[in-house]
Amino acid sequence: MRRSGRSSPGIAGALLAVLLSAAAAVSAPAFAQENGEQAPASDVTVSVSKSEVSAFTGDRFTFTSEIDNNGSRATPPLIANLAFVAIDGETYVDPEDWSPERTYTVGPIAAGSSATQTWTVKPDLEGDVAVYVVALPSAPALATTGPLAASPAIHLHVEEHRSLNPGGVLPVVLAVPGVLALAFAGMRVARNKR
Amino acid sequence: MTSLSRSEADLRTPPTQPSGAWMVVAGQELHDIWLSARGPVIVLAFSLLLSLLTYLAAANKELNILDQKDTVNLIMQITLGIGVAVALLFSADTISGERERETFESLLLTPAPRRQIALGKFLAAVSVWPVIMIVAIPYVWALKLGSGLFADAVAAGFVAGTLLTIAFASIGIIVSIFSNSNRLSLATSFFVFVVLLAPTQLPLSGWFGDFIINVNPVTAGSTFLDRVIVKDQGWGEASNLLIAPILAALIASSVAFVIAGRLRLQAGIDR
Amino acid sequence: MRPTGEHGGAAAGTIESAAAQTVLKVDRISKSFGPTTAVRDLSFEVSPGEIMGLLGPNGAGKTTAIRVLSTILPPTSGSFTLSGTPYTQPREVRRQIGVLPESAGYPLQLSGEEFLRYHARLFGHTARAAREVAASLLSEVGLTERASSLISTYSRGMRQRLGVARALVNAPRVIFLDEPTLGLDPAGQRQILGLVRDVAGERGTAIILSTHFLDEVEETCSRVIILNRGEVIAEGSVAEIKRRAAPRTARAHVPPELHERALSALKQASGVSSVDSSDNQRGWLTATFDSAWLDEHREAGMNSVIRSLTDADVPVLSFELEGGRLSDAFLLLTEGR
Repeated sequence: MRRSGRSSPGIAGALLAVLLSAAAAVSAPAFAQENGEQAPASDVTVSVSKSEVSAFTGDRFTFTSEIDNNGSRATPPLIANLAFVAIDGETYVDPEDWSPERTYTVGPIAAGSSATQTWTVKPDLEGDVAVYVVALPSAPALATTGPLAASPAIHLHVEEHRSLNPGGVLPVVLAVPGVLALAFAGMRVARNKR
Repeated sequence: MTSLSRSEADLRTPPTQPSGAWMVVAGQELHDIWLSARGPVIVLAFSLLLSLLTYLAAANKELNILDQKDTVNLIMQITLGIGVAVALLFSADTISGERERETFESLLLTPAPRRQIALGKFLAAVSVWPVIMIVAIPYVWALKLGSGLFADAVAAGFVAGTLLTIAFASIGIIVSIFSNSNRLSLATSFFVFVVLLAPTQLPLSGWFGDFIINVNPVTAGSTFLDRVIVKDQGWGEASNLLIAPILAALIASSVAFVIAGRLRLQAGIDR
Repeated sequence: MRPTGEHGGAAAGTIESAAAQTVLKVDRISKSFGPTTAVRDLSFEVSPGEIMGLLGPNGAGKTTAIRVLSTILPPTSGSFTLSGTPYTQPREVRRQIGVLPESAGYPLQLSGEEFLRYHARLFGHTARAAREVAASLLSEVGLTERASSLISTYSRGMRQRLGVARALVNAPRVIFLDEPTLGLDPAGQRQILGLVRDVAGERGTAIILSTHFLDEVEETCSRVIILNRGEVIAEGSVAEIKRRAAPRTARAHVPPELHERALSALKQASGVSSVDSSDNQRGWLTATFDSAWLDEHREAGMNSVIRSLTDADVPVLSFELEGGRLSDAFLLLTEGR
């Protein structure tokens, strides 16, 4: 049987297209593209540098989070958000009071790259709180977001800190009335003597 | 018998033109305020109050990252309020208190000009303000606001407080001149202060709120402190809020100056 | 108390030569409060060293008069001059007067010395001079030992003495003392009056003494003005006032059995215009003198009554002259007005 020269490239091209599509589908990012495609969630992962923290109220500690793009395409611009959940069912956490910066804008992360964020937490009240970082696309991609990427939670255990000298004000708080009392008493004694 | 270097007659006859009666009166009144229990007790109580406030605020500050300026503002507002109120009450006691203690006639029987008598008493009454302001400074410093903001906070407090002290001490003297009863004088003066202070505790908004804030010297002074300390506004930006305190100080002290020249033994002024 | 000090140089000569001079001249001073006239047409003159009593019942206008003359109150009408200074220059007038007000209060937190120093400074003394003046005056009024004590620890008498000292702090030409002995015991009254006499005599200061204690006036004052409801109802020397007032009577007590003989003897005594005897009180007789005759004969006249009884062999068990006291004159003049 004799093969024509035009039919072999067409079949190869179709096969290649199928293979590429399959590869594209497998390596698609966790979040939908701007054209609305759904994507699997496992391409972006978030990790944190600590798993357990014990602190006193008013103590400050930092940790880092890392957003890894495990996919083959760059992510859209992302928002990294710090979240708190009281796991003891009692502690009221006002995120504003616990951390000065609770969101970062993270630029598109190239495939295979990662981005790191540093977080500062200053617990306000005693209790047990889960602290974690969530990565989500910034608007307008947010409208068609798939599952978010969340880090494992840091178990933050907080105990009440009682300091006798908060902010170092104790010397002033005691000295000023003390000096005044001594001065006035001295004036009184001097007058009585006279 | 005392030994005298000149003839007793010469020493007994005073100069024909006594001057500086206001200094003599002020000196005596300052002696009465600061060497008796009145002034020291008030200043000591004030320092204890500030100590408590500062300690609580600092303890709270360790938990809240952002309210340092609010704490300093609170301390300055309290300093201003107490300083002005005490100066007002001292000045309200000046004339009516002397009438009630029946020591006023002896004072009026001297050749000291009436106006100088009132001026000396006024100066002694307002002396409490700088003392209270100085006592507050270490507390503001202890809250570690940073040197630039510390200087701004202290300067703003001093300016606003001085203007309001002059205004209200003048009002106190005016009320005192027209009162035979010291209780009435104190109550009336304090009532005026409370009426003007009340709007600072109300949520003022809109054009009416702005009007009250700008026209009422107390709300204007309080808002001035708030803008400079908490909202980081410059003095130029917030200076319009000083107009009402300046006008109040000028008008009240002028009225007091005019009527003080016509002091008389009983309440009121000579026609 | 040790009287010290003189008013001006060559004090004795000044007093003598100034005896005829008037240091205070008051001309028809009136003071009204709305429709109420507290003082009406008050006129008098006072010379250096003279002590003039200002008498009157409560509400007569004495304190108002003093307050007008000390420039505390402006007069409604009339005028006065003090050593040539018209009342229209109140500060100049105040520079030359001292006043102890009736309701004088004292700053209880000050010592006596501090109080005097303060007022001396207000009259223009320097600080050093004020200290010396205060020490000298405290010595003069007998308060040196208590100079550093707080006035709150002073008795009323001590406070009054302090008030007199304060009135002297500017070596005044005229001092007004409004009820200076009020509330004092007899010893305290005596002290104050002695001080008043010393001040007038040694310093040549004219003193206006307002009081309703008539004994004080009789004891201390050379002249008297009696006020009632704001008006002057009598003015003159103490003797003149006494004479103008009540008729003179003498009450004699004789043995009851000699009542008739005594009655007859008294009726014949010189200068007696009438004799009254009460049948209910035998032995008691009241003889009324003829005022003009008594003025002429004075004590000798009173002796004639006693002589007439003794000449009639009537023992005089007691004898009392009535109506000759200033208090009688005062009551007569002020009652019923």
